[in-house]
Amino acid sequence: MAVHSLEDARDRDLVRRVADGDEDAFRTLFRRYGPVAKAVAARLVRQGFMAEEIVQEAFLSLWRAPAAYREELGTFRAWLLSTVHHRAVDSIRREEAQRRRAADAPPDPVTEVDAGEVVIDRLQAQETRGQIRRAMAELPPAQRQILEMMYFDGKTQSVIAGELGLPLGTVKSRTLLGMRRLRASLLEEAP
Amino acid sequence: MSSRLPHDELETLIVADELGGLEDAEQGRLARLMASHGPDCAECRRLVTEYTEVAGRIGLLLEPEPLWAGAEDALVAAARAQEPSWVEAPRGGRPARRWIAAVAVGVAAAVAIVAGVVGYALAPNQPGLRTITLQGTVPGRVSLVYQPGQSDAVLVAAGLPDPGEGTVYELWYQPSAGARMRPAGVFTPTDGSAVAPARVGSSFVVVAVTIEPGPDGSPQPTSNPIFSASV
Repeated sequence: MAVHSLEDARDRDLVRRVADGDEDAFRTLFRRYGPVAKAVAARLVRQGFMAEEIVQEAFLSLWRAPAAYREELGTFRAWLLSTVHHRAVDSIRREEAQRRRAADAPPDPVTEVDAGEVVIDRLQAQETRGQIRRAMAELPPAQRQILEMMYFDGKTQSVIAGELGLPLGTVKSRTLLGMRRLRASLLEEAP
Repeated sequence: MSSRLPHDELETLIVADELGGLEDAEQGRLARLMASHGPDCAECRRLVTEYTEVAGRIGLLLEPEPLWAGAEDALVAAARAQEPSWVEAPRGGRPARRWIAAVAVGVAAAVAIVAGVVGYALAPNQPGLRTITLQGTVPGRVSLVYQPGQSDAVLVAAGLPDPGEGTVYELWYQPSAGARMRPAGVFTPTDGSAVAPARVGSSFVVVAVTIEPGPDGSPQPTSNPIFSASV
């Protein structure tokens, strides 16, 4: 599997240091991935304070049990975002019945972080984002729509089938085909 | 077994799980299928690893959002506050109040019942089996298959992190509200998976899992629960 080896090696080193109780390493991981983790959570739960709680809990669980991330199972970034995504999905499913999604709140004050580090991370993020956008754009629209409804809106395959008026089996097969295509595009080409 | 078994259905379930698109019952089906393949199934590991990576990259499409003011310091302060519960929890006495509180929080968070799926797979001819899925604060899935009124139960776990050198996972049950937690058995996953016998009371209101010193665990919990559920 192709990975961003330099970036990943740096992350893995940071996680090892977190396991030794290194607060600086913990802070570095939070600065690096907290913003994108918050974006993933906020996209699903649509409420800033809930997104912040989810992100904080995800990082606290890393601090409590850093062995939860196993290097042989992929990149730290993917593991973290998967953890945050699952927590956010659980959260909206729990509250779906009674929750009224709040209107977008004004942005919170921004934490000061190291400007140089931010520029470097942003450049890498832009490059990665461009690669993912291209891969998503190459998907047949019917597959892309289902992946987006599931990942960004937290809808189950059954709900999607109902909303689109499709048989559940069609939703499942489009999900599988779309993810296979993405896997081929993202993991089988050089980073 | 493992990699020689078919993975078509598993792959379909894994991709949907990584995107957050599975219903509770399907998650139980996924856990049962992975348990049937065993912890050494290289193909299962490959599928989970690769699709986790793909789903994670979809998340990178989103524009990062600024961290809220004081977020970093608040996080580190919260992390520091958690440390004593792991290293200084009482041994041999009554369970710490924070432990009970944490169980309550975990239970309040959510409890998902997977209606008999795992139970049916383990013992399809036994009526009355129930399955409860524990809510976790770490990745992985833990379900308990039990029969009301009976003490014997089976714990099924998948995707668990290694508990750490010299430690094991320990299952607990609370016979009634307010009662102290009782040990129900220890288990150590192999490559994240475990199927282990457990002994619970003839009735219980809460089950939970903690990490305890190995190989035999502790008579009472010494750390915060990482999985819990109420009945």
